[in-house]
Amino acid sequence: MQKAFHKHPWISPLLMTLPIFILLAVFYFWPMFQMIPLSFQIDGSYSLGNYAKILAEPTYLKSIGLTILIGLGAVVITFVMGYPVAYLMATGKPATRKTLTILIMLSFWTSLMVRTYSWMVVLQKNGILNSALLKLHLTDEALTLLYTPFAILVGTVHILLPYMVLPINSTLQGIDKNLAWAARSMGANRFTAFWKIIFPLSIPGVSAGVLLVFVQSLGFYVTPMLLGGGKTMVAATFIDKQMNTLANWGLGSAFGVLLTLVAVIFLFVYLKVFGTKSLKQGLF
Amino acid sequence: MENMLVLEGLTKTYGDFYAAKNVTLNLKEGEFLTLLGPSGSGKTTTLKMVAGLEIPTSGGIFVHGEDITYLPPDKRGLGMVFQNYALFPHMTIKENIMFPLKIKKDGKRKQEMENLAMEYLRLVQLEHVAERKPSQLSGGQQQRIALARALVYSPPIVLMDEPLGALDKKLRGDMQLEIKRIQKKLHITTIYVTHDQEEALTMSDRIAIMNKGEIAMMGTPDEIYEKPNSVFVADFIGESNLIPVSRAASENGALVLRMKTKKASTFVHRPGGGPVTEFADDTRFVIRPEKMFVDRQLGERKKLTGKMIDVIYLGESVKYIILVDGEVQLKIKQQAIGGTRIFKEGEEVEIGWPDDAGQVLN
Repeated sequence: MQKAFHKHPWISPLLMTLPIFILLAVFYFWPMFQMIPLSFQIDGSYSLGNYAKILAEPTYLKSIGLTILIGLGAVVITFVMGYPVAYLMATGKPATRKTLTILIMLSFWTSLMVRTYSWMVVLQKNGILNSALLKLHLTDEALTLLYTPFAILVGTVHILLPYMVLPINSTLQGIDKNLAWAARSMGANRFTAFWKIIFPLSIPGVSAGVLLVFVQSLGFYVTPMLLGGGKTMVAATFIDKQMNTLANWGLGSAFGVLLTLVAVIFLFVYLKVFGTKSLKQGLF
Repeated sequence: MENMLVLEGLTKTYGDFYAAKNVTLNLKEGEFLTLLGPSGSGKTTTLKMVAGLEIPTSGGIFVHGEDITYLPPDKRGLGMVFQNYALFPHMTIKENIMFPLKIKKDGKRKQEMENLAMEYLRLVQLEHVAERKPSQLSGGQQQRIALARALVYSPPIVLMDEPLGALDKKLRGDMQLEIKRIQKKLHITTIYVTHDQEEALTMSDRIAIMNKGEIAMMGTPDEIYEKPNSVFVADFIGESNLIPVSRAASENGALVLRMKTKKASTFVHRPGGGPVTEFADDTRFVIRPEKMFVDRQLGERKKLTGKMIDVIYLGESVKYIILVDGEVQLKIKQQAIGGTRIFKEGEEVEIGWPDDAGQVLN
């Protein structure tokens, strides 16, 4: 400590980060850790009953499975849709880059509620999508799109897309343009130069995007609630129902703990595969 | 000998701006040609057009008589070395050098490719770093690897865009010799871009000096240094005194020049067969500082008189700054032989030079 104060005469870096640690401890970790004892509680006594219930009940497991599946689906779709956008944003003409950045940021900054309700307008029985399909005779009767896992996936993808685009874009921008030219001069065509040079170097951005999209989608609440209705339950809406409607805090907490566990396992595997360096590179 | 590379009237415009204007030049096999010029003179634009990284607005590029003007870079088969090395950071040094061989797919086996890569690593004396990543090498080492990578697939022509620009002065000197050694050994046809005149003079067979998108002068290093064809070239290469003059008289092949000063001193000049210039408003008498001499009394050899205003000791030489006619500052450089007369600042001195030294240029 003495040395640190010499190097930074006013305040040590550790001290500077203290306020945020206190804030997190009081308002985040403390309530979260309270969830753990709660999850073992049934009618005032402690047991593994809540966990046993979840593992024995297929509807509960399905709900966790659906959450993970929607998360993975969102990761794949945001990657496939987002990478080309990020690539154009990083390499296109100034006008293209500007337009794309504005579009992405506009979507990013628009309220989550507004975006979710817009999808309800699009997907409902007599909504825009259905009337278009009917007019084009692609379908004979209106499809049930709203209140399905499909609707949840669409909304989740839309809302999380910027979290995939932005880190990929930032890594791509950091790649020296001459690398692609060097590869071209050595006989690589456009595609090979991209596949062998640019893409491998953009992996840190992709992995950061994957992490951000997947982990956020696990906790998604408003979007699945509105687009999934009461019928299709993901983990967050299930927890809400247990706690707020059925006053079953024990079961809700156990579910929350399991969900957190999924996120932690994913993070652990992620760090094993990509390492912390890759995460830093992609996010900052 | 047949021309390896021909650039014909190569022009690149951005709106009204000419980045390169009517650049025409030939390159013979094994020749080392340098494009030299200040920044924005069009040298890099010209090189990029040859490499295929820029499309010319008009003009043509021919390799062995074949038109490659509009071919994409990967179909040209040229080698390129970049200022910032452009090594692939996710590959080892050996993988970097093998990259062009793998792309080529000419049926070479992996072992053959590895042997070839190692051979070129030996050439640049860096065999021991084969398994390292580029970030673990110094700047000079990285540039040698970039050179090996550009040579390993035996391209007919190698293009180098300020390859030593990011290195410090001492290392730059070593690398100049290293590149020259390899270029000579493998007889590589090279276009080299630099803004460093010393580098251009040391390395080149021929130099094309570029200014405002055009080739201002093309010649061997000594032609360019000894017989510059314009005030721009004389000023850009080495140090020159540029004295505004007009013609006062001419008598039996000698010119009497009058300085454009209030005092209007005159001196005699014998053009040594160089370009005889029409006199214009901006005509200058151009002479190198090391061609001139200075003393308290020069007698017959005196051309001008002036006042010593500064004496600068440079190690192997001494530089004098002398004010002539109270307006024009001249630089004179002389070998610092032991016992060099020390002039006092403010002292009246006489200046001279051989009659045929210097040139009248526009």
